[in-house]
Amino acid sequence: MRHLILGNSAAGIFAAEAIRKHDPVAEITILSDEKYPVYSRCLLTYYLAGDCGEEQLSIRDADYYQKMDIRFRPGEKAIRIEPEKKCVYTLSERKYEYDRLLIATGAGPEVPFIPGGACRAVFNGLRTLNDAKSMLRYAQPGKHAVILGAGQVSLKTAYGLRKQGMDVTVLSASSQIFSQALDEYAAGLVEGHLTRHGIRFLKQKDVNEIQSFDDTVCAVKTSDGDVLPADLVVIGKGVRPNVDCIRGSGIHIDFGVIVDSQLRTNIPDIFAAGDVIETFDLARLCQRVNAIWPNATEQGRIAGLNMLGGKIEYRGSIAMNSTELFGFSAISGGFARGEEPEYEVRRYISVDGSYRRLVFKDDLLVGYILAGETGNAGLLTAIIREGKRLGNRKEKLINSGKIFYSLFYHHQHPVVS
Amino acid sequence: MEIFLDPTKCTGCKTCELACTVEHSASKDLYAAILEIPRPRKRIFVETDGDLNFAVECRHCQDAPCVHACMAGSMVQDEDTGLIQNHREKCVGCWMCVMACPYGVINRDQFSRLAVKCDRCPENDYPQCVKSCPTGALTYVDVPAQSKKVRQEFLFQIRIHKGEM
Repeated sequence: MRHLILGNSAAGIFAAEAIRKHDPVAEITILSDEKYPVYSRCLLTYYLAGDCGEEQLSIRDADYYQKMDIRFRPGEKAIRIEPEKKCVYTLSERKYEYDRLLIATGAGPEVPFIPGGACRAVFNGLRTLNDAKSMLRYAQPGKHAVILGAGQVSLKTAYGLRKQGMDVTVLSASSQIFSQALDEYAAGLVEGHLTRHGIRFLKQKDVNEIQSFDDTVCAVKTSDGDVLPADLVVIGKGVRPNVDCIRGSGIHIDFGVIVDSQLRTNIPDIFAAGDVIETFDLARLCQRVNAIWPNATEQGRIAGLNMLGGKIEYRGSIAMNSTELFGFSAISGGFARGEEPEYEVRRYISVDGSYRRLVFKDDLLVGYILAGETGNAGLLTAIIREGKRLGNRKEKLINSGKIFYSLFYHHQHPVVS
Repeated sequence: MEIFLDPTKCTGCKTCELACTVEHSASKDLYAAILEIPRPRKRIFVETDGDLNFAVECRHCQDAPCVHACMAGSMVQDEDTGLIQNHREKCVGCWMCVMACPYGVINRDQFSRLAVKCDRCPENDYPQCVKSCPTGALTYVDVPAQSKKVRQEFLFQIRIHKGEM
């Protein structure tokens, strides 16, 4: 059986491992549009900050592909899938045939049009090791960095550049930072902490123009006419699924690739997993792309097992975020910002200034935010994922932030290992 | 071998927490450990819900959420022992494992930016929490003695004890 995997990150690698574990002889090929062996994208901001070296980015040993008997094909960008012939064409015009195909192409940066944005010192997010390496060339102490957007990766990038000694300004279009994951209060705690570490925030401001010539940037002009000096600009306007190579193949795509509960696409023998797919959101109860590492690894494993003929159901995902910047931790999960009248929000601020926000729908926990002391986040994640009614345990949870839930009620995910 | 706890015997005295911290200190001495920097961290947590005390440490799950959540590749299940171990040279302190662990038994060493959890005392032949438990609530027993049926019966008894069944 020939298994072909498009994508060499979380979903692709975990799928390959699941296949290899149960089938020692299957032919497994991984195509990657990058030249590097598997590394963790999520660690790039740590690399940028100098918190870890390049070797630490690798999440597997150097002889990994050989040891796992995986045919790894770096620098092979898939551009077209032909399901009738069961093959994939790459940019280098090579053809790869498959019996089972996994689309794990991930997500890429959303690229808004900004005048002056086509310049080497303007980065569309921080998504690849190459991005990080070239960003470091501009990251000189005392120089100015302007970051457009205040989501998780933007804030982590701001942290990295600040640690390189740059003068960092973050522009946020909305009135609070990190609005995808945190509420106003928790975002205020993060913002205050970052401000104390020398990062400047300008809120309710957007960019009008980037003033650049050749390969250098000199300024960013904001929507209300301010001109900010800049030597490096990072655009962080979110990510979108990498679906270009899928177009024209007949695979159903909405925002992301559409899959069934066993992570199959509408075309036989083609599966999809990771940041590229839409899944059922267990907290919001709708289809959604929850593009985060733990979801991608779980989907990868399940897709891998189903590619071997398994019938394992993927229950769904929740949004989750863990961010630690200059020693301040914030973790959120599920529908953390739920504010509509059908949700009940219970907030608690402890004496040490730590913040806890729990969002309920009746006696179901659907979201949480912890900022400061975040030690019991996993208990809350499990309660949301299990989706069990809390009954009289709800008040206990509100009062103490934890209950003996997992020990007695948690059952492990239905994945066989 | 597995660590088991009988909550009806657990008085919540936290001796296990102390023994765990000392075992994971540089000096392995209680009085010296107090002054150590970075401060040694416990990897067992005595929880209470008012009527029941429970010392809980890593369950070393077969299908471990922390391993799957770890974006640094540092949290790994050892193939030989089956234990989940965090490799400190790879850990960056992103707390994804903390976000994922359904038992809340991963501690954050913020000074060293390391996730710390039960490692079953590799420098010692016996888990120090079990060794220190004064009431015999914690036991270290052979896995076959705790088959699935036994585990389920155990949970059933606790739920009866808690008046939930």
